[in-house]
Amino acid sequence: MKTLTLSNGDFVKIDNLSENLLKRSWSRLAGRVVSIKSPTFSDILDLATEIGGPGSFASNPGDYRKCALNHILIETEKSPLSFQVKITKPQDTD
Amino acid sequence: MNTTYRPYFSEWADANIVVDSGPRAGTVLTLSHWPSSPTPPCFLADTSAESVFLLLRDQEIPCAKYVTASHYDVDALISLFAWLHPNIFMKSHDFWINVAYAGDFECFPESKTRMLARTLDSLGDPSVSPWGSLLTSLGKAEQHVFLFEEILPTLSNWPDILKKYPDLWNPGENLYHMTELFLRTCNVRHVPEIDISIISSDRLPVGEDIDADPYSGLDPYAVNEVANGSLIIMAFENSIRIVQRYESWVRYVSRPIRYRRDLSPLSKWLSEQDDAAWSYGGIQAVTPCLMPVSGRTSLPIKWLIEQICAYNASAPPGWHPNLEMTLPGHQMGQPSHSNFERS
Repeated sequence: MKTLTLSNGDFVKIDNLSENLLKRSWSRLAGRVVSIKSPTFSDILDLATEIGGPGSFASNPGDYRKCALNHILIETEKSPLSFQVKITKPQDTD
Repeated sequence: MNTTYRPYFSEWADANIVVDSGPRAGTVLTLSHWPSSPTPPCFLADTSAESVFLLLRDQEIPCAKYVTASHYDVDALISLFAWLHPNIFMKSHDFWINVAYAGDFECFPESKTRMLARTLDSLGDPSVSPWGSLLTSLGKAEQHVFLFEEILPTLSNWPDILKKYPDLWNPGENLYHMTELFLRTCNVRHVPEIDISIISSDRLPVGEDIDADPYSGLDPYAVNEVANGSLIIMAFENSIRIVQRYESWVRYVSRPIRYRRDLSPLSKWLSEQDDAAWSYGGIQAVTPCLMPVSGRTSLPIKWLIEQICAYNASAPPGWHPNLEMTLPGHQMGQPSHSNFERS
């Protein structure tokens, strides 16, 4: 487990993050952890998405380890033309 | 004490006020509608300019040598203008707040307000600004400083600005009127329980860049004016776009806004169903758009609209603008807001 220090000195737990992403400055915004490159907000990365893929979010604001991230999945039922939205964790689907 | 503008990315030692941005070292007051901003609750408003108005109207101006904003846009410009020229601003505060609103949310019914918002916005766009080549030679932060320093001293004479730069508002206003005509032929439906507006037609709009543009080549001002929802589905013939509006990114107070949903799982699923790949800008983006990369879909439009509404109804909220913030540049230690809390 590693820790990622946010811009206010706060930290979150992570499993791993590439060097490029570790070099960026991360902040809490609107309940998520994001990295904002441009002052005009034209380039924003979302930490949960970077770690867990599209549809990921952390229910614990201090814990962004893969096993702690929730994941929104679309579960297709009998008909291919209907679905249900399911919340799960990556460890549940591995 | 006279307050003067100072660039945001400076070394800060003196007391400062930040508008339409996150706080810096020495910030004694933040007035911003940004998500998670530490704006005192009594000054929260749809635009940062209106937050400044609420302070100027109700309170003594706090002592600070400097006022600053991180980026050039219409709301930030007018917020700074209000601080630097409070008498001019307060004399016509409704007009100035409306211009800030129009600039940020691309929505306002009155033409002069729209024209000024379009012009001020375009002055900062290197592709159309008269200072285009100079702007492209500067870094982003320097661009913003240049624009503030150039425009703030002349803003009180805004009719002259409109006269001087007709090319910056005319094309947008022409498109606005063409879009109005097109929208009259469309079916517009609101689903208030999920804060969605659906604009549909069997016809495609006429114009350039229909397939690549998030608004199908239509004028966002005209579209946003007829769409009440914070999420808009635009479906024209076999072309479809889903736009999450700026209202759902910021701390919007004049009406309840349904929290944004992360549409990336929907984007992935639709790519699997469709002949076309779909793309989505991400929940954290200011105004993300979900659409087929080619602009067109092979899926039945009616079914698609049903699936998009069903997803939004059942997915959990993913963006909470009122939760706490720590933005880059926000130093350790709490800015003192105690003088501005309403008891």
